[in-house]
Amino acid sequence: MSASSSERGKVIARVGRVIATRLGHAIFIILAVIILTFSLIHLAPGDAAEVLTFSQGGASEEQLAEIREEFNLDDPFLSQLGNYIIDAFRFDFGNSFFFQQPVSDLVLDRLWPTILLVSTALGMAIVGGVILGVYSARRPEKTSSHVMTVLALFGFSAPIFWTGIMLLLLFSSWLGWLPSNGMNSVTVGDGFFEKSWDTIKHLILPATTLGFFYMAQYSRISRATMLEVLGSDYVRTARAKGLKERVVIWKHALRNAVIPVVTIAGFQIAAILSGGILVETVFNWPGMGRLAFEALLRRDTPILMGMLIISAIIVIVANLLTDLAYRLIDPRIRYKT
Amino acid sequence: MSNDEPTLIDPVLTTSVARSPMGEAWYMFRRNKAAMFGLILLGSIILLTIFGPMLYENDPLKVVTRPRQSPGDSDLLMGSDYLGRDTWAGILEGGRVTLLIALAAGGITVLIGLLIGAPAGYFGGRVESVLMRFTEIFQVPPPILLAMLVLLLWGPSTKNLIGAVAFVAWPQTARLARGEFLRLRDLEYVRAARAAGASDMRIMGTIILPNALPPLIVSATLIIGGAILFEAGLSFLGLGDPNVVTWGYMLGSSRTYIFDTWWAVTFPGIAIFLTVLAISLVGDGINDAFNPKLRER
Amino acid sequence: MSDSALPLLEVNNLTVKFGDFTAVDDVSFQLNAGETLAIVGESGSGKTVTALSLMRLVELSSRGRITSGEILLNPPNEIPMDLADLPEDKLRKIRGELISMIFQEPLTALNPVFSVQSQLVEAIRSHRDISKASAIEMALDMMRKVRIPDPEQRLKRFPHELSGGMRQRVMIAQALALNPQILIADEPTTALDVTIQAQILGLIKDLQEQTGSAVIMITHDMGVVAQVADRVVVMRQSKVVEQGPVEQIFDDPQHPYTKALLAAVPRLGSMADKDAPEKFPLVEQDA
Repeated sequence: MSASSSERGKVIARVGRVIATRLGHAIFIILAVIILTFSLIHLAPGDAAEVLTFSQGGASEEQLAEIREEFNLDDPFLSQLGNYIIDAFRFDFGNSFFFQQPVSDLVLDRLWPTILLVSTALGMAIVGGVILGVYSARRPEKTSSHVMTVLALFGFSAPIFWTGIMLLLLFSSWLGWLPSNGMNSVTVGDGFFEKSWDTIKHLILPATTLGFFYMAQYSRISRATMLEVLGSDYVRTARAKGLKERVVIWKHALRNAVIPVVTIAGFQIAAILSGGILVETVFNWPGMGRLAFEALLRRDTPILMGMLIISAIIVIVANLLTDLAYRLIDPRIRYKT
Repeated sequence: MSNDEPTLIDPVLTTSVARSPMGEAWYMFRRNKAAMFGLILLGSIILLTIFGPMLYENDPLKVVTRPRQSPGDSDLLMGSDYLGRDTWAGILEGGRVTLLIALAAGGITVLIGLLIGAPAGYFGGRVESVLMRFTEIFQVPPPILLAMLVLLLWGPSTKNLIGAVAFVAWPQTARLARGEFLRLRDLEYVRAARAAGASDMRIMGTIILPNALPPLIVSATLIIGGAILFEAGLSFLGLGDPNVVTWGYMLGSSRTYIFDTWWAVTFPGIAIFLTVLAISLVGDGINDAFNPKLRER
Repeated sequence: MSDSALPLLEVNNLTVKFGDFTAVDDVSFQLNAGETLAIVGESGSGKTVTALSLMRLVELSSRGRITSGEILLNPPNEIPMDLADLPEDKLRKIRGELISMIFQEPLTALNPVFSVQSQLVEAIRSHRDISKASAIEMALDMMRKVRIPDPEQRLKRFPHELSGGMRQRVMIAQALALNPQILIADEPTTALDVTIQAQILGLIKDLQEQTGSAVIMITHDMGVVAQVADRVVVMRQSKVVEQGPVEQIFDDPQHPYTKALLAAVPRLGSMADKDAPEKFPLVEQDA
């Protein structure tokens, strides 16, 4: 019994070390992104207060004074930066010029739709891509694998927002199957199921737009790994044990073929969020991307600054989750720091 | 194209003893149908965007006809947009600007990537960890947000647009350059040059760089393709120069009229699609030509 | 209904092709219950393909094709069957239950993402309708039989946490868990250290005596043959060149290739009175 409890202690120590390293790294990156963001307004040409208000001399003295006060622009640079960092870690990114509300509130209001959209798209891409990849690896000579290569190429070559526009024209305008705009219809009732179903209908087009390219890409990756895994010794062992082919493929081979897909997906989270911003603009999806676009139209710099930092945090959290998933799937790297 | 069965004697390798590496790569490239298709497509697009505007006199920014003329209704090949501007003229003129922007952005991206990635890979150790940490910072925020903020602060102009694309795209090249320089720095001839007293700058510039070129060229083509897409995204959001026509600008200016003038958003999109497709086919072809062994089945 | 005079396994005129290449060419041999048959040959001689064909894994895992011949299995108290002609679902019940196999590379033969326990339990439960707890009990029992120290702890480990010798023991435990009639061992010791090699061979021999399984030992090493085999099949360039009882093969080899293989085994004292080490005599390449 004592042997197993010291064993457990060792595992806890290893897990603790992994968590500490990852967290330290995450905090470093967030800090660096905050510094980068704040430095940009000082690197931009012109007086910082005027850059922030985009007044170019037209803003009233009171407005400029307010900005100087809010971002401590009369202090030395390092002290301004220090204040901004402290505020940022308190989740205070100043007030929006246009909405006259704290940036953090505005962004948090829009967080859920974005997460819903991006995670649906990513889920579709991973699950769909892996399933397609496995099937085409089983029959490499079949046309399905060529179709996938072509789809991946097409998905990569079209601007994502344009793909969205085309789907919108096709399914919403011409066929009239799906709604074109927003996250819920104005007329929808408050019942949970009614509302959820309405949201799902609104979600299909943007999520497909966003997920499509990554699905094609993941299917290519998982097909390539699957081909390799199917020739591996352990798959031969699994067959020699007399396992059903279904178990050999969907348990023994798949678990190994998923690893590179998860790795790549982890790397791509920032890019997917980026694509999500464009897709939201096309479909008027009320998420962060839509807010970013509104901020852009109104030249509301604090919103964009805050959003940059908050989305960096989202990416880092998502990376931590990917890392966790990766460790759960592959015991070989489970305790590696 | 079935190369499932490994052939013991590769006819290409046995007949190509006398070719130079470049000649060999070109030979492999020519045999690749998809790559040749891409090259011909890309060539046609480039010729069309160079000579097209000379042969076609409509100004893409001027109203030349009634608004919202569909391609069938008017004598214009691709109709007119919500203001009455000629879509076909925009495709021709916008193509030239789009390609130039992408080329410039791609060039700057590769340059920054090399400046950061090459020393990181070559020197390793602390230099590497500092430079790569720095690179990582730029990979965390979503690229479009970063570019939006930059363009909001610096103002929308073609020059700034190019800068913004390069500003968010370079980390990818830096990682690639780091990997290549790391791989090549310990090779025999690099060691020999070092033993002969060549300076680090000289080794990086004249010995490693030429050997790292094939993957860098491939990545440059992909970056140019990506730059076209990214520029389109930014212009779509209204961050391009309003006085310069690009394909992205055309999409962006018609974005609120997609249900009324589908042609004004469809054709520029197809132009972007075909161009990026051609560039990635060529890029894949170059990649396969330099690494025939790594070719995907 | 099996006649005791029938051999347990009878391979007649087996031919396996990969595309146009004939990997196994008209190979015939027999295996009797409880005996150890060694198939010897250099790499590329077709011995591994022969072994994989016996379980019909050559089609699934390496895209080969059995083009002719029969593989007759006569399990005691069961109807004889031709494995070359059996549908996949019947074959699946034979694999691991009547015929098991262990491989050359213990490092890669176990799935890296599953624990030893889950892989052993899976092997048992895919053939026996028993609870997970009793399958774990059986697995533990097998771990003891293959002399893995501290089996309770090791059972929870993942393959990468075990040494090569331990992993091969796990493979053997997995292969013998259901008391198969035949164990096919494909170069089971080649990838292991010399001291571990002897332990693994001894272990296979001991377990064979306990269970009465027949063993087909695939090897390139005449030393291994001398240690374990009752009878020998010598293969070269996809064909059987000679076969017979081990004494006969060692005392009076007929084929020059067999002689060359035997000459490659250093004998104690054979270098006495020589000033320098000698090269092995090589068999001339026949056209």
